[in-house]
Amino acid sequence: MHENELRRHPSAEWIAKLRARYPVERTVDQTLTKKMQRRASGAASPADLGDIKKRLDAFLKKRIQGDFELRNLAALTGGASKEQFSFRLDWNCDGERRKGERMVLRREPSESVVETNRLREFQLITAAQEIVPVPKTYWLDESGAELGRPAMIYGFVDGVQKPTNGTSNVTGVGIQFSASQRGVIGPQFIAYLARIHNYVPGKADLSAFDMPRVGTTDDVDWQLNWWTRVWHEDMFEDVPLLALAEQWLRANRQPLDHLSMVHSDYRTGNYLFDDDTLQITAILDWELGYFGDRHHDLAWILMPSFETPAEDGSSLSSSLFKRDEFLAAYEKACGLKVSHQRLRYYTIFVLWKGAIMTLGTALRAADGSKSHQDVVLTWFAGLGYTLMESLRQELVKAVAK
Amino acid sequence: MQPGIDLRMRAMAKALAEVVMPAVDATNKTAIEQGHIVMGSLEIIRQQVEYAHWYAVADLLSLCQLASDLASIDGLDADDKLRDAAAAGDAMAKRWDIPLSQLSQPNSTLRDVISTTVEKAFAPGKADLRDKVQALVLAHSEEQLGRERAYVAGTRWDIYPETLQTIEACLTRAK
Repeated sequence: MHENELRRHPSAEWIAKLRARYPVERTVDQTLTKKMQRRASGAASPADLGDIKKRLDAFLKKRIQGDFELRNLAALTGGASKEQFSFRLDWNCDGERRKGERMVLRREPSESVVETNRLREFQLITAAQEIVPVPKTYWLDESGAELGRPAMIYGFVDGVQKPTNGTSNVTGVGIQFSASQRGVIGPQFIAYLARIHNYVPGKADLSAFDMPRVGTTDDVDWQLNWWTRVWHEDMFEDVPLLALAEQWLRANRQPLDHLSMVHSDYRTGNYLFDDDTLQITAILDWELGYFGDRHHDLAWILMPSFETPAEDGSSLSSSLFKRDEFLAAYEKACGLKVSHQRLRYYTIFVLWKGAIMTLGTALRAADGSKSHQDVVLTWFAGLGYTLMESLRQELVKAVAK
Repeated sequence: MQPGIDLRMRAMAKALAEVVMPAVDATNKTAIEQGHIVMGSLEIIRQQVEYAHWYAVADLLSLCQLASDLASIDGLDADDKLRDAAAAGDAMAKRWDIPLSQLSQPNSTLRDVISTTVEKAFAPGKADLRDKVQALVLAHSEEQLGRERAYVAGTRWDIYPETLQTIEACLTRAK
């Protein structure tokens, strides 16, 4: 069978071959394997609020002591990855009666722009509660046996993704701030990033994560295998530039110098802030997080496609900073040096990864009619080509050295 | 006589903009965002459809050229596969009596063979081959990405306006 047909109808042998060729963290392997096993299962049906309410009621009944009432269940807008619903809950929490507590159900679609693991996300957000503002995690249905598909429930956090009356492209890319807004939000953005990167695993349950060894290439090998495997599972046609980038990344990887919690999608658009005080109220979208090299986050923040213009015409990384000012402020806040060699490496890495997501996984999910956001996923392909142009430019510089 | 594709698409876009979208519940932001993306996508397809066959042939010929260039590098053991794939692509590019999906088959084969060649060139001890392959792939990618970016420019994701061309300009250059 031709590989493209295998991508639509993966055989057990083909899945096993990819698993053997590209070893990754245990829970990443489980997630990608399940994605391929259910790929041929057909199109996903739109979410049925009645069914979700029934499932949620049954799910909560097993976990809440005493009577409770679930109400105002509604779909939340925004985000191209997971299905999200808000609801109000009257319930008893640790002996305290809470009335109308607003919560969020975050559930996997059949496939989406990124295939990730809810246990990893749940554990990472729970661990991050110690250091940065994140939603309070409550419950997890890891297998999806009760809520229809794997899902988690966390507290609703008030805040906005962009200033009132602000504009952006989909998923919060292209948000514009005024200079005074940047002056308040920017330092918080850096301070929280520094705390994430300096996090030391302690009491929190992080059993879903394999911890890479400092001084080895464990972390980058797992990351390279993760995204190469995803590309082979999802692509429609090969792209010579992406093949070249993968080989360059494998040939130029370096041992890990410091173990950090890595968010992997840390950028403007993925945090909420109070529209009046401009205080960041929650850092969101932890689903791609892992433990490894902090330069991954730095390169993602500095990605050219996340730049917006400042008043003087210069470029602002992640809508907030001039590049050099960001790096200097980060080093000061974090206490860890920025290696420009590693930053160049991860610049190529994140552009390669972004192209895989947009031109591989997003289109594959839409092709199978697997998500509530299929039309948004096809729109993402346009981003893929500009990411590849950035990647080409970076590779030209890298091979010239 | 058939009504033009462009005419029908303009009529669909007008119906969406003037009738359907105003009737959508203003609080349903997902529906509104998806509605705008559908309208934007229709406009992009309008721009693309005029050039669809030309684009597919230009893309195929460009990959044939890269495969031929790679095959001429001494020491690459994939050269027969590269030449065969390039010859099959060249033959298909001359056909006018085939659907676009058939043009994509030799394109896909060329991409596979080229990517395998890139992987082999990075094997240890082949630095000279690696450098030559890198240079050819990067040069080809500049031209190919110019074409691809032009084709989807209507999404407004592109961030390099100084090198962004019209679809017709980059296809004319490829010819």
